[in-house]
Amino acid sequence: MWRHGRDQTDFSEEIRAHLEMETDRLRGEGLSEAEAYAQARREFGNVTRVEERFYESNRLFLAAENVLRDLRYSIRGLRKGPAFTLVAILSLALGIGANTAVFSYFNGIVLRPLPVDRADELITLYKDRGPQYAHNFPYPFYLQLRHRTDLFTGVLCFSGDGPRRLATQGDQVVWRVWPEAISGNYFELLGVRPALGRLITDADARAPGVEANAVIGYQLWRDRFGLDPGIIGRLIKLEQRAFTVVGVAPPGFDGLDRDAQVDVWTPVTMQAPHWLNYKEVGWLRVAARCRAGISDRLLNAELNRMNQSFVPEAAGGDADLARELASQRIRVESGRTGFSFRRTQMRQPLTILLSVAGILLLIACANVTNLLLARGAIRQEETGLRLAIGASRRRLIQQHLTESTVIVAGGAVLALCVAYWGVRLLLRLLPAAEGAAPIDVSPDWRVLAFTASIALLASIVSGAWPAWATTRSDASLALRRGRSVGGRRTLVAGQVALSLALLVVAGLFLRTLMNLRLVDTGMREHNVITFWIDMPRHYSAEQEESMLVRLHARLGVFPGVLSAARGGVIERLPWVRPIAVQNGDSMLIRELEVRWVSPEYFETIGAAVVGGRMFDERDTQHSRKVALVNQAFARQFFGTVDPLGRQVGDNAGKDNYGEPYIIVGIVRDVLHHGPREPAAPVLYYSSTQEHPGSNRGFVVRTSIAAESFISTLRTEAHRLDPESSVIDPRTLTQEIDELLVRERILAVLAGVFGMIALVLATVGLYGVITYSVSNRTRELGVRMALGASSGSILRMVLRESLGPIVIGLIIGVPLAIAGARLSSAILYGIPPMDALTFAGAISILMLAGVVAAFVPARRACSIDPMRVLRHE
Amino acid sequence: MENERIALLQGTLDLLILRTLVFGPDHGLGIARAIQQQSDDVLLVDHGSLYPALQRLENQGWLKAKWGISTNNRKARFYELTKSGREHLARETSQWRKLVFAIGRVLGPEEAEG
Repeated sequence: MWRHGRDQTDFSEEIRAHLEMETDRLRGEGLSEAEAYAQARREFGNVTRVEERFYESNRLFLAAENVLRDLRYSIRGLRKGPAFTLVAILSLALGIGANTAVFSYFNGIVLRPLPVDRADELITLYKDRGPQYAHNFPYPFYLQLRHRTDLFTGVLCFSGDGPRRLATQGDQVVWRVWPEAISGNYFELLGVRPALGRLITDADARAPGVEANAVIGYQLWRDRFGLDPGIIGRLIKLEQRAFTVVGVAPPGFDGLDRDAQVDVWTPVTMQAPHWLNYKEVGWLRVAARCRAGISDRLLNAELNRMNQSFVPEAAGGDADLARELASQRIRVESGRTGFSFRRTQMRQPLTILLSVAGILLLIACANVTNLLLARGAIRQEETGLRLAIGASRRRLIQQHLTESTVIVAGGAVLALCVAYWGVRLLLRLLPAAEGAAPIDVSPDWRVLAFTASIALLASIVSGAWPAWATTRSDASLALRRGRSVGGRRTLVAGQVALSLALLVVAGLFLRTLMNLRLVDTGMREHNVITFWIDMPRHYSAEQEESMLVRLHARLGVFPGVLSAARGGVIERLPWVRPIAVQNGDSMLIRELEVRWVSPEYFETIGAAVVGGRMFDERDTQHSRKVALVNQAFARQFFGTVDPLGRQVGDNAGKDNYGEPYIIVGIVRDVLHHGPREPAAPVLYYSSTQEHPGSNRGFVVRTSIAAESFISTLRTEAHRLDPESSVIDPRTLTQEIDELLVRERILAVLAGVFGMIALVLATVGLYGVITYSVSNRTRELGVRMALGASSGSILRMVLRESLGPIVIGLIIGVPLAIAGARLSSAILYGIPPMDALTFAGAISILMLAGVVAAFVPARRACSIDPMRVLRHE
Repeated sequence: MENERIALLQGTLDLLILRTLVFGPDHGLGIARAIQQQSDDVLLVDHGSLYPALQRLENQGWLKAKWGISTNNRKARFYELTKSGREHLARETSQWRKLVFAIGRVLGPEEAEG
């Protein structure tokens, strides 16, 4: 029960009424008023005691009142020492804020489940190939999966299908949107309900090419159609194909691929028939809900049996392909968080950062503990007095813990601001390509629960020891002997140790990033821009090629352009085909990376040709087919033999290797996949001789600042063909940076955290030394009176201050070694035990220690012995 | 007379208060007097324990109270049995009877003492 419906006065009133009635009675028996009252009081006994019993009977009320009183007391005390309070709250704000920021990010990328019904029960299928193609299946295989109702209650498929041009009827404006082709049961299986109209159903996907219906995303509806309910039934054109809008998806639903934005959903059956018929090409991602009681093992076994029986159909007599397809195993994993390459990529670095932030919080807590101990020591007399007059130790501990909780609560509130900025910093570090879905870092219950629990943990960690130590009955005795300063020195040593580990790890990450940036990519990055051209799907190959050729020619003579070439530079997905390489009398067949480039390509990216010649105007569609190889290619296939004049065969598949290409030149290794990946063999074909379906990449070297060229570029492309547009224009430097996003995030954040740790440890040390100097004012005064020089006092204080630092460093080295070992998988070009990094971190901490000790030490020297002695 | 009075056992006061109130609402002093009279002045109610006990019973929900005017025109707090108070009394009374009977059997017939 919270409290009675009565308060103390009502109870006292009742007792008074009792006494009055009793007095009346006694007076009736003949006693005088005064005698009667005295008698009544006597009979009643101790009124005050009874009232106390009433008060105490209300335990919870008492407890609540104690809490309130402690709160008031704590806040009053904290306001009296603003410097103390500020340092404590700021320390915690940084510690908790860092954790919340990293966790928000971690939550957004790794934890947040799909906004669908029973996300936990979803599973996704994948093949154990490389990460990029692992989730793709052909449509006929999907149809077979759908028939397995013994295994699944439902199987859906989808595929990103963008970008495409969206036009509304009678409207000239065209937007680039990112559609998704989906199976008819997609929305129903996910349990998604429309914001307006209806969603795509199985009826829309019953046969190829029949129901041209589309559902648009909420964001598109809001941003482009102003939430107009009249959108239902309107015709929209995706490229040349008209669709009827039947509904709007709910806000927040953005498909199962967490990395990509989706604006429009269309039935998969509206895809071109040849896509639907492909058996050897996977392009659809598959998610399903299982029947109850189907184990993963059974499922895996069944799926692989299906795969094996599908192989002959898919391979169509191609033995190599059949062998490859048969070697792939199909597996299932939880589909709770959807598909995300970003998650695969970021999970490990984010886990490391969470640990780093955790250590930072420990350092911050140590600071608060330190401050609380100092405060406790100052209030020792008060505590001693209270214990002496009978305060229970429990009450005093409760009061101390209230104080640390108030500090932590203040820190946690401020931490939310820190987290806000931290998250924005993190988002800035991530590249944002067109069509990429933003990471949802908004705080949800997970983030709030996380912050609340680490705040609670922080208040216990930082408050427990001070509360215990400063309420000991012999505490004042201990203080006089200086023991409690010893405890605080230990804390500082701990902070130094943890800071060292943080600084070392941060240093290693920083050096890793620098090393990677210093790797010779085989290119000259400065003022180079890459981009690609998007054109309407209805363009014929000739139309496309004509636009690309015109743009290429125009760029070549454009003011400010040094050279312009066709061909992509940095690509995550290389074009790989089986290539036959002539080596002596035998032919080797390997899957190799192939790139189509124009003659200016190598000059534009600044890659040198080390043997033979580049492509030039002699290489036309009618001349002999030629090829260039990189050094890695030459090394791997020809060793010391000169590859010039040798032949490679391309692409014909089975037994026929098609028209041979003559190797006419060798190019320096270019790191097309970023500094981390060593150069693999690459074969370059001339885009003037042959062009594959979509060679829309361009690279331009400018004499003016590359960034300022981008808007000119857009205008120029638009002028040549209003229907085409420039996609993802960026400098080569940006592109390479984006490949290093993991390393960059780690280096920047660990660096920031390391700096914060350094500051916190310095503050902690400063506080301890200041306190110990002010405690020893008398001793130092006596020493000086006895003839100690101020220089010797300075040295003495400095020497004593550096004690905890040295101890901290000694403890810190094995910690740092452990941290370095754990992160060794991410390091590049630097051993985990890098002596320079360790030495650097140790020197920084030593320096910080000297700075922290110097100010109080100077104060110690300026003590006037006469004044001290007179004061005594 | 005085030394024949018995101080109440722990817990029995609650039972007696509830029992007294079966006949209707009364104030603290009235309850104390009633217990004394009905026990032929054998049971002495300590006033210091009475009011906290009333408060306890009220908190349990067995009594409810309101301020009123006593027969001699004094303001007094009147207590009344609630429904759950009655049920509690019934339960406790049968418990108590069992206890007294059991203790009586253990102690044996009165003559044996003499």
